[in-house]
Order: sequence, then structure tokens, then C-alpha cells
Amino acid sequence: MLKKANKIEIFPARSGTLTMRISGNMLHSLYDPVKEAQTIAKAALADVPEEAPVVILGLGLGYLAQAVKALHRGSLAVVEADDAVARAALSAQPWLEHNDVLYLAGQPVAKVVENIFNTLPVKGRYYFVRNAPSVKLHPDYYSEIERLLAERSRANIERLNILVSTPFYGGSLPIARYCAAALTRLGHNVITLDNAVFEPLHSRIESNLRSRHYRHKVLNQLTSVAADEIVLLAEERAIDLVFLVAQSLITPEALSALRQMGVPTAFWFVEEWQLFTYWQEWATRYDYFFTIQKGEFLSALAQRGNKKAKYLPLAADPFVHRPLELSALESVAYGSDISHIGAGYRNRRVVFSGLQGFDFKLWGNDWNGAGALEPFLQRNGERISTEETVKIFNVAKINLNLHSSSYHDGVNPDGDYLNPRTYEIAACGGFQLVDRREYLADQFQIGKEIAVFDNITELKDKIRYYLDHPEERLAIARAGRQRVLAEHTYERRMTEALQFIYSYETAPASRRNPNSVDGMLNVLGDEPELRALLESQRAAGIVTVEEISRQILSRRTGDLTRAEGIFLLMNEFRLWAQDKDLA
Amino acid sequence: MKRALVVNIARMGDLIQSASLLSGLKKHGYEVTLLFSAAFCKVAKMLPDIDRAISFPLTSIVMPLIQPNGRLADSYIALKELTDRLHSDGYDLVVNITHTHFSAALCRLIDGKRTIGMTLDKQGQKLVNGRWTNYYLNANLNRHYNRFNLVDIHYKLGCIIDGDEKNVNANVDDNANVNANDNYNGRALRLKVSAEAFQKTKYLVRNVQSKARLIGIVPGASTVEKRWPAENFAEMLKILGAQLSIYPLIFGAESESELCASVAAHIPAALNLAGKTDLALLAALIKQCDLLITNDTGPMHIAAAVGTPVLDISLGSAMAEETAPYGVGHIIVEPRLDCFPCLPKMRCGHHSCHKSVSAQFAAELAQAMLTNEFCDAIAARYAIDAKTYRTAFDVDGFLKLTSLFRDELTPRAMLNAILKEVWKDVLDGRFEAVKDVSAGDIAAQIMNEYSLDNYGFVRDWMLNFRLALDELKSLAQEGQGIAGRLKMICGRNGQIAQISELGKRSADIDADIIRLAYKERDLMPLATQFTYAKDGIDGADLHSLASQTEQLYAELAWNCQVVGRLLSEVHHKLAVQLSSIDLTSRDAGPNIINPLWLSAYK
Repeated sequence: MLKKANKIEIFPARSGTLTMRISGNMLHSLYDPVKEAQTIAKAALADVPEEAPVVILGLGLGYLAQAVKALHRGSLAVVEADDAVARAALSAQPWLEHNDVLYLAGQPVAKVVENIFNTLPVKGRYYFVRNAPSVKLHPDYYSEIERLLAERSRANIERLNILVSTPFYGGSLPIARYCAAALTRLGHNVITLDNAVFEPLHSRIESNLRSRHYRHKVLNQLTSVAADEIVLLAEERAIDLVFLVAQSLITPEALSALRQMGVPTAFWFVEEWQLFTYWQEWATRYDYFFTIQKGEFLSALAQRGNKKAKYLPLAADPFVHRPLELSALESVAYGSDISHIGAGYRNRRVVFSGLQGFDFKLWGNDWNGAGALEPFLQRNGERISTEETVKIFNVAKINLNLHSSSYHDGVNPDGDYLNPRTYEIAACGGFQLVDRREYLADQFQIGKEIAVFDNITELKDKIRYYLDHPEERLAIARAGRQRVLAEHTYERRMTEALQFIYSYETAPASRRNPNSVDGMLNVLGDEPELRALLESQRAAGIVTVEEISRQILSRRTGDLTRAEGIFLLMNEFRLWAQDKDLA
Repeated sequence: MKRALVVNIARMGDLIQSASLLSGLKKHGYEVTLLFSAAFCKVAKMLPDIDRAISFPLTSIVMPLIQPNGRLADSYIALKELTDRLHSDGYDLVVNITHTHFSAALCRLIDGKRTIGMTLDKQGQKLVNGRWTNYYLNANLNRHYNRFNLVDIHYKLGCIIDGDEKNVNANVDDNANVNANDNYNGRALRLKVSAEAFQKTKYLVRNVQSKARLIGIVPGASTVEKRWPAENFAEMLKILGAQLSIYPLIFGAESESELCASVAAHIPAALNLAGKTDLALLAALIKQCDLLITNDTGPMHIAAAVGTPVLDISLGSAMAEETAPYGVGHIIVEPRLDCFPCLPKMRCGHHSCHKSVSAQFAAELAQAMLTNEFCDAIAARYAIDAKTYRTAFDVDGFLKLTSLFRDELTPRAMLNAILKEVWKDVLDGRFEAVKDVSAGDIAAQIMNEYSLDNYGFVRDWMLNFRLALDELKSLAQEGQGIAGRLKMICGRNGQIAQISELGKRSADIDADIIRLAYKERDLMPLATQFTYAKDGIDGADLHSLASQTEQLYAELAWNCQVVGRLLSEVHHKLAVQLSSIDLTSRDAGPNIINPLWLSAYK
């Protein structure tokens, strides 16, 4: 995952204590590493509240961790990107293991965040103490951890059980998956119903059945199956929130069942509201409605009866759309001066046909009868996988991003929202030329973080200009990526969505579930033995007799408490009833 | 006063079958509390000799556990309140005859001074206490080797404390209350039928002409496999009705209404009471019947307990040796089929056993029972399809099924006759007494019940089986030696390696015991008794564990030796008997007695 340090040297500093050097970079002072660490710790902890959780970035030889521990009473975690450093440190410094400090070495970012979030409780936010030389060796790794932990503590919502159900194909399928991944990284317990599994069946039905009416009939049944699964899972797993995107498989019946059960539903309508008008019937069926367009649409929703609607622009998943180093061969295969990935909409056909003479690669499907564009079309207009898309965004000198329109011959003068591609190219650190959109300036600094064109003439001029000025391209691309990482990730969007939802919801739905830890504690009072037993189930959110008994029996030390005995008894009754088929 | 709690949260039949245990405990001087499933309140009220009955709210505890989003807290609270109350009652003795894992966990929480039956140790591991409890589990696994009725097992399980039955015998009351069904040992199955229930049911039977016989019919049963077909019941009643004046009452639960109606449809005189009687009324009605003709059901046990003769058509997974109606003179019919009895949860595809008992046969038996005639000749006529037994008590007061037709002696029949006598003593913990078991009595009993026409086959089996018994005995002795050494060294320092080596060897021996039992199936009852007993070893102290283990190996070796000796002696008696018969008239030939072989075993 991470490039391992080439060479680790450990030797005595002037003060006599050990210091460390990795491939020529000193991780600690050559003179007095202990004193150095104390100085850094003191400065860094100056404005940290007493009980706040502190994350130390970079273990080195552990001096900073030791210094912080001596000064700070709150909980501590130490993150080290390089597993080899941690191993060397542990062998050189036997005093290093503190049971009350969470050490995380060489783990993937998401895991680190998950571990810290689950182990170090946070009320306000996390504070960071950086061992600068360590951070310098793996800057992306540490900054990513800071970013995700900041997002996580910003949401400041208890761990939720969230059910995300995806469409079975189309543009909103990856969006749903990105949302699910982001919610997981934010520390929630996410069940993803990835309905792509239905796609082969869907294609079969589409190709076998000729009657449109019949196709609809069968596909509706398919939708009912997926929707029923949502409702039943929500019941069985004490789901707090059902999150859906445009085209997710759901039925009005399922939504009303969820509403009856008190499970809130949220819907991200990632489509153009004037073009796709089905939102009108669905507006009030969802509890929370998120849109990629604001103003008029929000008032239209309010008029239809849903006032809990919020503008939520699209974003990028930096774990998917990321800078990549491509091999020479890949650079040739995917690279070009100008590139466009996307379907062959009318306005694109018109605009791109003016790009004759450039080194232009056109990727994507629905380009039948491309005419003059035929020579540019790659792979006969096959669909391009996300992984390949990332490579293309990375390696093209200029990525074109023209928002689709079937009603215009060029740039849509009324276009407002930004497509996913805008954020994704930027997240890859790719350079893009995007058509001017109403919301563009809210999201990026035009000219500094993104480059824009208004019409085909300007497009050609800018292509020539940026091809001639690679350093400007790089600067804009870098700034664009920073902006996405800071503000336009799915984690940020999901945080905003959850904050919005829980400004209305009084408590997560599962807390109302009688078998949630709190629900049971409420009823069963303050028996300490029982409290300890139930608290041990907090991570799962909901208490099941099966799981609690499994834990009791696997412990195998000491005598059973009465509370444990009663749970074992309940489990035996459960098994007995199952055996008798009483359920 | 000492307090005993009997945990019996099972089916209705089991509840009735525990009546003798409850009375036994009472005679032992206990104040008796019964914990029973709330569904059988009416039955619990009819049980004599209990001081207190606590109903267990099974449904309200189980439903929250199996319904989606059921409130676990409800189940928790109900269990906590109940177990706290039972715990604080401070029972001196808890007898668990429910034999389920949940009842084991329940007994852990009740935590009486002493628990017999399944329970959990303090760490939550399963524990089986008591030789008769081990035997119950053993008999469940090796049904073909069991010759004890459940009523006797339940009684013994709870009433044999430290191998001492003296108190019970001393207290046998021979007052007028003793039912005709009581055996002389004082073990009885009794239900009190309330005067009120009697009064309420009288009008139902008052139309009966004085000579009409009141016949109870129970066409239902817990499984389809156990149900003799409704048309057979109807046909039987027609045949019987042509011979005698009868008035049939058809009993069944609400859920069996349709089944009962299909019997009633063919018999205009019959009164279909399915779903119309609660258990108290049912008992009152059954008590007034002259005969109850039934599958293996709860009402059958009611009949036995109120003194009504039973004709039990025992099909499917029912096993008469275990569940026959308790008392003297009931008749049981079993199909003569290799697949019988089937496994308790099996779903049968052919129901051949339903055809093995014909309506004509049942009608003839019923008629004989109603007119106090012998059933033997009828049993012989139908012997090719069915076996017929009559219930009685043996000299030790155990229920006994006597076959009404002399079948050929089989190896298993011989082994079971011996095992039953051995178990009677060793399960009570009277190891010395077993020496007095008389081979002559067993031989006489065998000759009374079986024909020895094919004795050569039994003798050949016995030769092999004695070798297997010797092998099992030497394994047990080896195990005993190892456990003995373990006991000696476990107190000393620095013996960890040796202790773990001995532990491993002991485990190997246990595995060998099981393997040997699978090789020689007839060893299974002895081997299983041993393995269940090992489940009862409790404690953290190595010395005590080792000495308990040593004791169990010693018991196994002793049991092997006793069974082996009795086999030889019984064989000897049978052989002597056979030699006095003129062998030339038999085709079995010289196979039957080999004097050379005999001399070796004198």
C-alpha cells in the first residue's frame, strides 16, 4: 500500500538517546530527541482541551508519543504510515508499549480512521500533533487521515445503521456506491444493497420480452423484490436511515411501510428536475429530498409538500478518483492531448466535430453514426470502466468536460449544476476544460482551480493556450484537487446530508427499537452486571440474544453472572423454538 | 421440611408421566413444587401430591425471542422474575425431567442445593447429574435397548438419592386410596378427577343404555406417522359395534376436529367431542369409559392415570417400552416392521405401519378386552403383521410388557433381559447387590416369553459378544489405572508433562471405547452410559476430577463383568433346559449344544 522506507538507521544522538534516519531523512533531532519532542508536544498541546482525543501523526522512535502522554490526560492514538519504522522503534525502545495508547502502524487510511473513531470517543473534534519529518515522508497519507477524522467528528452523529440501496445500472449506480463507501468511512454501520446483481436479469428481460407492457410488468416485480428486502432488513437490523439515489429500486408501498416503522428515508435526486419529472409523484414519499439544483426546484418541492429538501451538489470519491502513476505503455494507450469520456449527446457531437486536427481521443458509448468524429472514437464506443476512466483522467493533458444536452448545439446557456465528471477529473489531479455553468463559481475558483469555456471558439483557443502552458495546467489541476479534497468529497456531502436529516430527527430510529442497547437499558434499569453486558453490544447497536450468548460462551473465564445466565437461557429458548419451528 | 422442585416444562404426556415421581418425592418427606408449562394448567391441577404448582409462561417468554423486533426485555424480565423467585425459594432438591438445553440453563439459575438432571456448571457448560438421568439420555439414543417405562425412569431419576430407596419403601401406604393400578412398590400414576368435572360430563353419557360400552377413541397424535388412519378407526368401530352394544366418544383437540369428524361421519352413534373438552373434562370422560382406543397420545396417559383400560395402537416413532400406558392389563399393538419405530423427527413416505394393524384385529382385541377374555389367541392370529403386548409389573415394581405371542429369542432380547436386571441395581448405585441377580430367574423369564427354536444363532452371537465385552472391560480397566495414577501425581510439583500425557491417554481410551461400541453395536448402551456419566464430572480440582473419572471407569468395567457373567450363566441355564428336550425332533441339530464349548464356561 505504501512505499516502504528504503533504509532505516538507528544510532545514538549527541545526548546519548537513540535517534532515527530513513533514507537520509532525520526523523528526530541529532542532538537531543527527547527534548525536541517535549518542545513540539508542549507547543502543539497549548490549545488542546484537557480531555480531548489527540492523534499523533508519525511514531518515529516514540519520543513524541511519550512526551504527549506525559502532558495530556485525554485519550491518545499514534499513527505511523510505515510499518517498518514501527517495528524498528519497538525493538529499539522496549518502553514504548503503553496499553492505554492506540498504536496504528502501516494500516490503510480507512482502517486507521475507523479504528480511531471506534476507540477514541470524540465530543468536539480530534486534535493532531505532527512529527513533521514523518509527515513529510508520507504527506498524502497523514493529510487524508486528518481530513477524514475532521469530517467524522464534524458530523458528530452517533454511529448509525444505514441502509443504502443502489440502482441496478446507469450513472447513479456508482454515485450510490460512493455514498455507501463514504458513510462507512464516516464510521457508520452501512448495509449496501448493490442491485447491480439484477443487471444480467434485467438485460435478459429487456432482450427477451418484446412487449413494452410485459417488460414493465416483470421489471416492476423485480423492483418490488428489492424494495421488500429493504423493508424487511430495516426491521430485522434496526436500520436508522434508508438512503437512496435516483433510480434506486423502491416502491411507494415500501416507502410508506418504512415511514410507518419510523425509519426515515433520504433520497438524492441526482438528475435534472426539468428533464426528469418523476420527482413530482415521489416528492412526499421520501422524508428527506436532496437535489443537485437549487432555487426554483426547492420551491417546487416545497409546493408539492416536501419542505425537508436540500441542495446537495455532486462530489468525488478520492479513494477512487485519485492520482495514479501509469506505466509507459498505459500512458500511450490512454494518453492524448485532449480527451473526453462520455456518451454521444447532441451538443457534444456538434462541439467536438470542431476539434479536427488535435490529438483527440473520444471515449464512451452512444456515439453511433459519429461521422466526422469516427476517427477519434476509441474502442468502437465501448463503455469505459471506472478504473480506466481514472487512468484516462490522469494521463490526458486536457480533459474536456461538456455537460450533456440534447437540445443545444453547443454550451447549454441555462446549465446550472455540475456533473460528477467535474469533481472526478479534479480529484484525479487531472486538468479539465469545462463549459460554463451557473454553479461553477460556487464550487471552484474559475481560472485558478478550474478552466472554463463558453463556446467552441473559446474552447479551441484555450486548448491551444493550455497545451502551450503545461505549468499553468499543473498548477490549476493541483489547486483543483485540493479544493475537491477539502470541500467536494462524498464524505463531506454525506456529513451535510446527515446533519440536515438529524436537525429534524430527534434520535436515530434504532434507539427507538426496543432491542437497541439504550432501549433495553431504559427498560431494564440499572443492574450493573446487565449494563456491562448490554454496553458490550453498543457497536452493533442492537442487542441479539444469539450474539450476546456467543460472546458469553466464548469468554470462558469466571463464573456466569445472573444476567449472563438469563441471556444463555433466552438463547436456549430461542434455539428450542427454532427447532420446533415455532417462528 | 425439605423442599423439592420438579422442573417439567414439556408436553402433556410427560406431565402425567411424572405423577409417580411427585408422589415419590412426597413420600420421601419433601414439600413438592412443580414447575410446568402454563398450557397444561388443567393437568397440573389434577396431579396429586404436589404442594405448589408454578406455571411457566413458555409462550410469553419465547414469542419475543422469535418474533421480528420482539421485545427482548419482556422475555428477560419474565425470566428474571421467575428465576429470582425460584432461586430465593432455596430448594434442597431440584429434579429436572425436561431434558432440554433450556431446562439446563434454567436449573443453573434456580441453583438448588442439589440438582438432578441436566443443568449447567458455574461457567455455563452442560452438566448431567444422576445415573438415571444419564440412563434417560442413553435410552433416547439407544431406544432398542431400553426396557424401562418413562414413568419408572422419572420416578427413579428423582427418588433415588445416594442409592437409597429405603425411605420410600418404608412409607408405602396401603390405605384405601391406592388405585388398582398401583404396583406393590407404591409407584403409581394417578390423576385426581374433580367432582365438578365429573358432574359436568355426566349428562353426556346418561343416554347410554345400561349395557352399551362407553368407548373412547383418540384418532389424533402429535405426528402423522403416529396416527392410525381415521378410516381404520371407523371400520374398527363398525366391526365392534356389530358384536357389542357400544357408544363411542371421539376425543381430540380443536385442531383435530376435521380428523375426528371424518371418523364420526361413518359412525352415526358416535359423539364427536373434538375441541369441546378441556383437559379436566377430558379426564372425567375418560374415567367413565370402559376402554380407550388410542394412538400414542396424552389422553392415553390420562386413561392410565384414571384407571381406564387402554388399547394402544403404537405407530410411527412411538416406542411402547418407553411410553406404554402405566398400569396392569393395558394392551399395546405394534407393527412388525424393520423400519419401526422410526426416528422421532422422520417424515415417512410409505406409512406401512398404518397398514400393519388392521381394523379387524383391533376390533377383536377391543372386544376381548371389553368382555374380559384373553387376547393371546388373537395376538397369535395376527402375529405375522403385529406384535401384541400386555402391561404388568415385574417383581421389582417396574412396568413390564409381556408379549402375547412367543417370538423366537433374539440376541437383543436376551441382552435386554439381562441389562434390565443389571440397570435396576447399578443405576441405583447398588453395585454389590447386582451380584445377587439371579440368572435362573432371567432364564426362566426368557423361556416363558420366547421360543428357543433358533437358539444356535443366539449362542453364536453371545460367543462374539463376550469377547467384545472383555475388550471393553479391559479398556475400562486401563482407563481406571490411568485415572488412578493421575489422582496420585496431581498434587505434586513439576508433573505437568506427565499429567498432560496421562490426560491424552485417557482421551484416547475414551475414543477407543466409542469406536469399539460402533463396531459392536450391542455394547452401545454400556458405552453411552459411560460417556454421559463423564458429562456429569464437575469441579475445578484436578484430584477430584481424576477420582470421579476413576470411579466411572470402574463402573464401566464392573458393568461389563456383570453382564458377561450373567450372559454365561443364563446361557448355561438355557442350554441345560434345551438339553432336556428331545433334540432329535428339531431341525436345529447339533448347533444348539456343544458340550465342549459348555465345559469351557462352567
